[in-house]
Amino acid sequence: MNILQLVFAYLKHRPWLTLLNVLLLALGIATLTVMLLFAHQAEDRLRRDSKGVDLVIGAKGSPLQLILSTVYHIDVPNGNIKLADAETVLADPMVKRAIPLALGDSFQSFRIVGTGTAFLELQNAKLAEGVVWKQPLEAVLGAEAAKKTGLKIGARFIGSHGLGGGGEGHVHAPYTVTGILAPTGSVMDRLILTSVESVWKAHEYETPKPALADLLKGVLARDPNVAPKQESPPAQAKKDDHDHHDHDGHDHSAHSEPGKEVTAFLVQYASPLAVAVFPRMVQNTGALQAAQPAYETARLLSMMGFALDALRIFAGVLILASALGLFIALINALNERETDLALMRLLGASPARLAAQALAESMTLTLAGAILGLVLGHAATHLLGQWLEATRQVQMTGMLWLPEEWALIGGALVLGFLAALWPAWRISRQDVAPVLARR
Amino acid sequence: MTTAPLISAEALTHRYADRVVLELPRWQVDTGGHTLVLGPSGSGKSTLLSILAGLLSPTSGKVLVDGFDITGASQRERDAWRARKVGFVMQRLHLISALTVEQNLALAQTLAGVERDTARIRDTLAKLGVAGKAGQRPHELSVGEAQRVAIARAVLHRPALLLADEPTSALDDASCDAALALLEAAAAESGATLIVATHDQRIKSRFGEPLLLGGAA
Repeated sequence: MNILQLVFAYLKHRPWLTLLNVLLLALGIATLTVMLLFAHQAEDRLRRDSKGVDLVIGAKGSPLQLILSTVYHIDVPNGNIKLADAETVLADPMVKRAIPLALGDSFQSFRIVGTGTAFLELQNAKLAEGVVWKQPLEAVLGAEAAKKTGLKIGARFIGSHGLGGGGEGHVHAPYTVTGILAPTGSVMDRLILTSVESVWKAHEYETPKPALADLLKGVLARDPNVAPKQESPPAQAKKDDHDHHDHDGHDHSAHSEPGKEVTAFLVQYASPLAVAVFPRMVQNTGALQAAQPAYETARLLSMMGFALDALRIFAGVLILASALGLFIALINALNERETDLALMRLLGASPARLAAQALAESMTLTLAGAILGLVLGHAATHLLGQWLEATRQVQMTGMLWLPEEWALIGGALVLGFLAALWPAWRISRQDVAPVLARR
Repeated sequence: MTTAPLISAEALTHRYADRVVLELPRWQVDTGGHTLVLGPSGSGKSTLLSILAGLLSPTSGKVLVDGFDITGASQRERDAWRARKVGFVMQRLHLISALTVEQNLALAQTLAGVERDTARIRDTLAKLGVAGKAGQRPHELSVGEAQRVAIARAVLHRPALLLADEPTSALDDASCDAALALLEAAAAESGATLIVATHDQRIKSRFGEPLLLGGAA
């Protein structure tokens, strides 16, 4: 019978106390695991989605909201901007590329984004099947959007007004699916992409073809994937008949100006030096707002950091409590087993073997707590992810292993070792004869 | 031809603080014999057994057991020697409650440094009349059964010296006789020299000349 078999026999002998000790530690480890997985995926997602975007130009309002709505697609936009206003600043040589975004509609809660094909390039998105849009009202679906909606190439669908779904359908302007993107692991997976003109057409903006080309020429001419092939909608601008009602995520006043508005522009600088000058230049126009994804993301992460710090402290308290509980349990076990330990010494066990047994018992408990905690943490993250995906369209998974989790296991073992040090030392110093002589 | 004694003690003294608890000028026990150590509580019987088992270093004196100088050996050497050569039966039987009877015996084999021998465990339990108790836990045994298991554990590794500390004190006359008979039989079977320390005068007649401690008569 080796040390581990004896340890398991003792743990099995007091199942409820063992379970309690394991559960206490598991809760702390689970909380830390959820926090690790959440922070890692959130940061990774935020950085990946904003990759390549130096600046976002949009309507005045909260810069964070502008970034959230146009880069991460998890909030409603501040409003729309006039193309003419944007064109003035985007013509500057500091701008290498500017990608228009026109938001306002959705299909089954997946956002329809009017943009240029340069957006695909920016997000490193590849077509899994089909082709990109060539005409207005042709659309390319992100992998997740295609999977969840069940739309195939050639399928037609009708976009709804508003970003949250449930709005009035643009029945006069059905979309046709021309392509489906391969999974990117970014926000692209959840978007439905089309041309800016499609969004205008869906809202029955019928902008004169030359006018649109003129408006976009300064901006899109630098994007070889976009401008030349864009077909403009019919000539007569027509006021949007949705002006008189309101929907989540859709600014009607912005749409009320026929054919001359978009939600934002994603800007890439021609030179790193532009970061010092260009945002201020945009701000000075008075009508536009410049928001820097790097800065706003850092601000968002910093805000998240408070919550994560609170969780971290909570988990730390749980783990400390479990260590204390473990220590007390070991001391109690030691007192209860004083005779057993003396007997084992009598039967030939060395003090070192008994000390090793105490350490092994403690470390077995903490290892079990760590493993259970990791399982619980991953399961909780997965459930949280499913809920977030259903309610917030944020993707989060528990099926992910981070290198830091090895540190959790190692830390738990160290904790078990430390908690058992003093009991182990006491065991090794025990005077056997008086214990056995006790009647 | 003269056989060397199994135990040879000379000028043995043990003190707790200023109190002398054991004083034994000279004492010898022959190999294979059965010896009684008789004395009232506090007379030093348990102290003597602890010294013979190598659990306690005497304050002064010298003790040889089966040629091993207990008083000159280190703790580690005494532990190793005790595991191989000594079997111990206590008044409190001290079976480990978290383990089954068989596991208690298997642990004794492990700590004695011998290979696990299930056949030997079963055989010893059978000889002591508790073969059917191998899978039970100590709390499921009667006092008599627990005592048999404790004896089985003590002789399992065929020790040279079997020490019994107050093995009959809590037993009625019939059980007392049975327990002693078991101890003697187990010692004989494993070839061990038996030393019984007790204040129980009932068993005096079963032994030869006892070692009297603390003014016992």
